[in-house]
Amino acid sequence: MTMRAASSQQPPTARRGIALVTVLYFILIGSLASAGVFMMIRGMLRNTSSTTKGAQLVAAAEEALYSALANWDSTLRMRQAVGSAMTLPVSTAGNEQSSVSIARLSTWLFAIVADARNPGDGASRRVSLLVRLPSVVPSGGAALLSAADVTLGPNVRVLTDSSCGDIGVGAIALAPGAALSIDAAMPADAQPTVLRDSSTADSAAYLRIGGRWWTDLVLSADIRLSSGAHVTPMPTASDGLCASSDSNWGDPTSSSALCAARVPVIYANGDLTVDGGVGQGVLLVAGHLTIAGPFTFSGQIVARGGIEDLADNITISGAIHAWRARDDSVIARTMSSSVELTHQTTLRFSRCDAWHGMASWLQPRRVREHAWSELF
Amino acid sequence: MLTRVTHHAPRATHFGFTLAEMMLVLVLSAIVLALMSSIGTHLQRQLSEQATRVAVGEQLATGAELLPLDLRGVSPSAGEIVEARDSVLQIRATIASAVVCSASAGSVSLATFFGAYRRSIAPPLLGGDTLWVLADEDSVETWRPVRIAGWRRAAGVCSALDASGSELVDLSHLWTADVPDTSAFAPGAVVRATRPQRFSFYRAGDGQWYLGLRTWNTASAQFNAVQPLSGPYVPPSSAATRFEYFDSSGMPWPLGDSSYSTIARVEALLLAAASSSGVTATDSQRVVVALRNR
Repeated sequence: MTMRAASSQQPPTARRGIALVTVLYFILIGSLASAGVFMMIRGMLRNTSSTTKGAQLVAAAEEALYSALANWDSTLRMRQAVGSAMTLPVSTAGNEQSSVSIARLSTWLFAIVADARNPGDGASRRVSLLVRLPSVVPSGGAALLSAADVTLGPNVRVLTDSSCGDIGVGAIALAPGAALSIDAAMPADAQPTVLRDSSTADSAAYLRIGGRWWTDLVLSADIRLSSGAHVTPMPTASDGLCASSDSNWGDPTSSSALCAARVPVIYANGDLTVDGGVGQGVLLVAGHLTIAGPFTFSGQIVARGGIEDLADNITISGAIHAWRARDDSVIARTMSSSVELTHQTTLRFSRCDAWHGMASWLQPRRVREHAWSELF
Repeated sequence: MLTRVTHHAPRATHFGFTLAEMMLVLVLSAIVLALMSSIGTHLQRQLSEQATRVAVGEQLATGAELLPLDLRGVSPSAGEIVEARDSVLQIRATIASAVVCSASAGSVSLATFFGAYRRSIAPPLLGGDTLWVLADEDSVETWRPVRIAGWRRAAGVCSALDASGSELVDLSHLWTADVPDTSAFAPGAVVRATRPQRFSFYRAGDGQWYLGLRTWNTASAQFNAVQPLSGPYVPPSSAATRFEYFDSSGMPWPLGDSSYSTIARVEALLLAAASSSGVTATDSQRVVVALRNR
């Protein structure tokens, strides 16, 4: 019985084959091959993906950059302090998030910087574009440019806006034939510099503003007033928004004011009387401009039939052009076309405020030769 | 009992193989080994091919990634393309951008623009490099070149920009450039630093053709030895690997012309070939770079 039991346990050990080894060998070879192919394909895809993703990010950043340029808010930009940067809302397109910042580097120069990043893997590209506002020097650098005779009372002050980089004493530019009369009571240190230049005889010096002619501006005026109108402009709100009425000429007193962004072109089709108030923009008067009350204005004024003040506390910051030929159908000229400022009036030459008045049509352009950069 | 035992003993000797069985096993083993060898060789060949293709792809991808970085910002109208041939492209590359913080007699303080990831890289400038300052005047702006006499870290603050500018410009790490004339360096002005770069297809010591870059040695005022960027490529003599140029209307720019200012687009045709274990793979890529500052 003992021997029988022993002999019956032998056969299984003697029947081992190579099937298991063969199967394991093939599994191993197959796994190695699959892993190798997978790694290589992954490497190829990574290379391709890296190049493609980089190009896509640059394209997204450029799209954000030029979109910011296309949607340029001149009014906001003109109020942006030199040396400051403003960030626009982040936009998302596809897998890329784009953000744009605009820095005002000097009075004219802005840098638009756009970032595009892929939140998935954190890849990012940054490009910048230097843009510049058109080179417009209002009124030849003078607070008042006049082709007609000018009379200044003792309380008139002509200044420059040092915060805008305008330096020197205030100046009045006169056409060659125009006379200047300054009240003898005006302090010597308050007397303006007088500039006379042959270019001031040219109508273009008065009637071409920021590259646009009087006629074009009249056609595109935001506010149109009839001849002989009286107005007291004040910023007004309606339903929490800045109202767009003819007596709302915006608010130059604060960049955060509700009507700070309202910078209209105002056209008076004849004589205009301002009975006081506040406003900004470009004021075009085809006839005679009378300021009969305390008035603060930021921007440019062009009057073709003379200017006079009848009240104190008048401040005009920007530039004033006084041309000598009316542009209306009034035959009987009851008022002089000269400039007669005899009350407490401040004329401040400010390129910034003059430009701000023109903001609605002043658009930036790329700086010459080298505006675009990819920042590393 | 004994009889039963002797009856079982011969049956144990039946565990061996017959000749036929052995022959069958040998034949089958030979077939299996042959199959395994064939499959292994095939797999190895395929892996080798894939490896070669990957190598070729990497050669092309490197060129495709590196070329646009330096070429996109080139301004032909500003004379930044110095030489353009089918095998050579020499440019004046911008290597840093900054904002002028302040200027004093003989030196200017600069804050560099941040790059991607709001990362600031120390500008690798040296005495002898050229700074271009954007002189912003009433009538028109112009880029004026100024040679740097010295370049070093600076302390202080940048008054040209307030804190809101710190997202764009590295206001914490300022640099000072010694320059002979600071008249154009108004606070807030933009400056760029440039240095010549020369891309070329060249034959290296191993007999292969590469896309190489020669950087400018400011101290010796000449180009450094060429360094490979990517490759190897099929020789340019076959006209398969070359630079091509186009004007703004998309028409080919005539090689041999010296009016580089009309170039609007640069294309690099790269044909790469690689061999490994007797396997040769070829692939091509056309790198198109539209110049942004035309």
